[in-house]
Parts: sequence; C-alpha cells; structure tokens
Amino acid sequence: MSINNLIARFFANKATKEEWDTLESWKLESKENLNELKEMQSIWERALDLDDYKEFDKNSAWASINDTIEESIIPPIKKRKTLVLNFKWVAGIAAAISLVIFSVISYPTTEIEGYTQFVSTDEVEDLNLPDGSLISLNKNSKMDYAVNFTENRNVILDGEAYFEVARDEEKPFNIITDCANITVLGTSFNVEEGKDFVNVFVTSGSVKVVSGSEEVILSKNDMVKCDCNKIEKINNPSRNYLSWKNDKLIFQETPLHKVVSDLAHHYNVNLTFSGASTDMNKPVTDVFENEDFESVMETIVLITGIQYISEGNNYVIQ
Amino acid sequence: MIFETKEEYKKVFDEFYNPLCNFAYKIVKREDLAEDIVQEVFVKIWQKKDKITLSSTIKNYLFQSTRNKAIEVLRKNKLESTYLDEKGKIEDVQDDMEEEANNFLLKEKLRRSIRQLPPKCQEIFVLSKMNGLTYIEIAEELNLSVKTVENQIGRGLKLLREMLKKMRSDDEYK
Repeated sequence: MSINNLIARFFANKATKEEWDTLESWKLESKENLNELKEMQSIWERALDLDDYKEFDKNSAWASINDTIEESIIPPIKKRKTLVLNFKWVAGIAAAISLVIFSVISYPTTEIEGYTQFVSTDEVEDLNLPDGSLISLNKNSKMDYAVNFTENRNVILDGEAYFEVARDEEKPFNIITDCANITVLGTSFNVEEGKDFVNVFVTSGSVKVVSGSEEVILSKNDMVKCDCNKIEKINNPSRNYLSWKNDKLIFQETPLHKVVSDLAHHYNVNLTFSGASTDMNKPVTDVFENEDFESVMETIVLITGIQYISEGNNYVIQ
Repeated sequence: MIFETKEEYKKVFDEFYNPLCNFAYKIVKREDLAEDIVQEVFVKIWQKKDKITLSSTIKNYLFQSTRNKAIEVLRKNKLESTYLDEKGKIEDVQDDMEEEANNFLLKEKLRRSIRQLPPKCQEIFVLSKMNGLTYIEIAEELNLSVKTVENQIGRGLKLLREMLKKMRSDDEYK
C-alpha cells in the first residue's frame, strides 16, 4: 500500500493496526517525514473550517472600487451662505480685528428690546454687520445686535463667534456675554462662551476683556478664560480654536489627550479615555481639512494604534 | 505614503479582499453588507494613501478598519450578531485581532491552494473535507475504487503542504 493511502486512511481513522505500525515506522525514518505528517495533519484539520469560508466576487468588487477611486475628486467644499443685512454697507474694514468668543447667556430666546436677533442652527453662518464688521457665528449660537448698530456697536453673544471688527476709534465695538464684556480696540478674535465661562482668543490687533473686577488687554495669539470671577491666561492656546470656522484641525506633535479634546469640541461628540494610560501622551501630527469624524478617527487609530468603541455619540478609547 | 502606484494597491486588494469579506461576514452575517464594508475600507485607504503613515502593518490596518466599519454597520442597522451582546456592546473586545487576521489569511491560502490542485484530486478533496463524504461514498459517487480515492487524498495533502510551504517562504522574502 502506498504511503498516500496510508496517510489518507490514518487521518480518517480507518487504518488497521498493521497499517498504523507501517506509518509509525515511516514517520520515524526521518525528521522530514515527521514534519511532513505533522503539517499534513494541520492542513487536514484546518480544511474542516473551510466549509463556512466563502469566495466573494473579487473581479466585480475591483471594478466597482476602481470606478469609485477613478472619479473620486475631492468632494466640493460646502459653500457657506453669507447673509448681508439690509443696512448700508460701510466701506472697507481697515485693520479689522478678529477674535473668537464662546459664551452662553441664559437670557430668554425672545428678542431683547432695541436688539435684533440672529440665530444659527446646523450651519455656521456668516454675517455682515452694518458697520462693515464680519462675524461668523458657530452652529447653535445666537447673537443680538443693537437696532441702531451704526451708532451703538453692541452685540450680545450666546454661543461662539469669530469677529473681524471694522475699525472705528470713535465707536467701540462691545461684545456682551454673561461673564465678561469685551471691548474691541480694532482687530479679529474668537469668543467662545460656555456655561460659566468665556474664552477669548485674539488673532490680530488688541482687545480689552473685563470680567468682574478684573480687566486685561489682549493682543495677537493671546487667549484668556473668564469664569465670571477671574480672568485666567491660557498659555500656548491651540490653533484649533478656529477649527469650527475653517473646518481645519492642525496637530503638530500634539499629545493625544489634547487631540481628543479638540476633536470632541470640533465634532461635538463625547470622546473620552476609558482610563489613564500612556497612550494619552502619544504625539499626533496631521492636518484634517473638511473631514468627517469617522475618517479622522480612522487615521488617529492608525497613527497611535489605539482602539475605540462607539455607542451613539459616545466614543471611548480603550 | 502607503502605495506608490495603483499596481501596488491592486496587489494588496488581491491578497486581502476575500479574507476581509469573510471576516466582515463573520460579524454582520450578510454577504452584501460584508462586501460593501470591505469595498469602503479599500476606497478610503486609497483616498488617504498620501496622508497615512502606518504605525503597524497594512494587514492590521485593514482588519482593524473592517472591524470598526462592520460594528458600525451592525449598530446602524440594528442587526443581530453574536459579535455584540444584547446591550449592543462588543463581546470580547480583547480578542486578539492579529491572531484572528492570521487565521483568515491562512484560510485564504488554503482555499487558493485547494483551487490549484489537479481537477480530480481537488474534487475528491472537496467532497471529503467540505461535503463530509466518506471515502466509500466518494468512490461510489465518482465511480472509482476506494483505493484510488485514498491515494488522491494523500496526494492532495502532500501537494497542499508543498504549496503552503512555498507561500511561507515567499512571504519571508517579501
């Protein structure tokens, strides 16, 4: 009987005592024989698992993938609509100020007397004010501006906005929030108002912030956090404070925990760590522009090797 | 940069498409969804090829992405799967991805090797292992002697072993 038959009978448990002995002595003849038998045994056993292993149509899959990537030009950037208010346009923004402010005021949704209300919901809204100032209002934010705005440059902010304020030395531009009043001396800045805080980040020019009894003058790249009692300077503010406006997140050797907090803020998701770990300090360097959250997370997983699980809007890094 | 050219990309696709679909199928239990998931993973990796620097291997990336996507699809469609428990949580998160990936890749290699066996030998091997027929049943079915069937089984195993051995050494030189 050939060795092939012996092996086949042996694996099928059909070998007689005699056949078994013959195979045993073949096996002991050489190391090569022994290895061969072992490997064949493993193939024999593994082949059993193959009955639920499927064969998918690779060719038509490739055709469809190829079609998609051939025509995949970067998706057009959604154009934001600009609302031009029905006021006379005041010429040129000489030395505009930009600043970002985030602020939440607990005033009722009804309009305040002498003020016009402007509300954003699912989209960032651009707003041209009558004095020539430009304002980007982040999603789910509200801003009231004085009806006689050209005389009285006061706005009340509930939420987050980026300001490019037209210079007018005679008439200061005031942003009123719950915790702080911000007076623009001519520039751009971001204001972010939270439950009990206001963040002000200046990108050019100078801005005066008054909160309680404290007062500071901020200039370019300065950032403060006001918690209604005191003003706290934030060192090395992340550039991503403006990410909501330009949909661009920049990380440069940024520790993962900072990345996580920027992402959570930008995408409005709960993104947390399940516990303290050294992963939190893993550096991330990348630029994400107009990318959705899932796709950013995919890249983060790739860069850092973390794993995460998600449930609805909650994402937990393991 | 992961792929310099489309040829490299196609090579990765050829190697991983089928095992990834099987992996996704294990989670979502639907062939159409499994294919959608894996195709999306492949489209994405192409679109991001210039931005990604892999910290581990392409194998780990593909399996991890497929798994993430599959679990997302499962939740989105509220599909039942042994992969998620009643509360929708992933069971055995600590599952060794690498081991699972290797297992699927090995199955793929074995499947391809079986496809390369000589026709009669392949038929006999498949009837025996996949269809679970005994040698006697196969002999009757194909009108052959039991001895011939046994011989072909032994020969098939020998050939498979040689093919897998060659693949292993090819992998080492990659």
